[in-house]
Amino acid sequence: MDSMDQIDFSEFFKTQVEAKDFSSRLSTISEMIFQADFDINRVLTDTLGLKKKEKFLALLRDNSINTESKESLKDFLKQLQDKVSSIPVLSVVLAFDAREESLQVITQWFFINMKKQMLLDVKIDKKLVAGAAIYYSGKYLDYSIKSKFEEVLKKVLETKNEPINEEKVVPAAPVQAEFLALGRH
Amino acid sequence: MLPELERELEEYKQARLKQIEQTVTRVVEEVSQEVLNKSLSVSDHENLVIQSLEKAKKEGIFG
Repeated sequence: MDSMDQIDFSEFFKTQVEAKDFSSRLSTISEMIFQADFDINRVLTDTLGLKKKEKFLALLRDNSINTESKESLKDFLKQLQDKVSSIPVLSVVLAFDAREESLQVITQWFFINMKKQMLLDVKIDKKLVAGAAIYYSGKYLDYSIKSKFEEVLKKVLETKNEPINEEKVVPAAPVQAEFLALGRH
Repeated sequence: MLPELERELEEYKQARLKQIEQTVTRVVEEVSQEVLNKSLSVSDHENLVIQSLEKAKKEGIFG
């Protein structure tokens, strides 16, 4: 495993779209390197913004890249782009409008559990109710609670269709608790 | 004539009742899906997504 495998790009991008944008910005920086007035700090600020500039400078330091050496810098940018393009894409269907923090939770899960980053291609389908469906390596797998939810609902509706019998009345709160527990097995 | 009309009326009634039952079931399903979806906090949703990923990992989906 080389040092490139250890890089956590999640501070720069989490989704496939963001990764493409980041790679495109690296190309812009790369094209400027040999210009006479090239100033790494200014170019990084202009291209990545202040916050990401600091993170990128830290990345350069962590990889012992001499920013005075234009060749080293250009080589490193090329290596980064190659690495970005090799990150696998995970299409994930979520049941809620995921914020930046939620995407970070998913990205971090992959880092901790699979020791790798995944580029997220996120779609929203609220009919999944909760949980996620994923499309990876040509397989579509639904791990949402949708089917369990439909199963429970069907049972509830069947119960309601039976003649009224007080012993069979299902209280509302435990039903919801059961739904919540479905994804935790 | 009257029994024939009564039979047709009963058939029509049953067909309409079945149709209404199907519609009500669909509406209840859609509404309860939406209510449950919205009743979960972002944190609940995140936890359930992580559980989905854990299941996928156990099944060896990610290699």
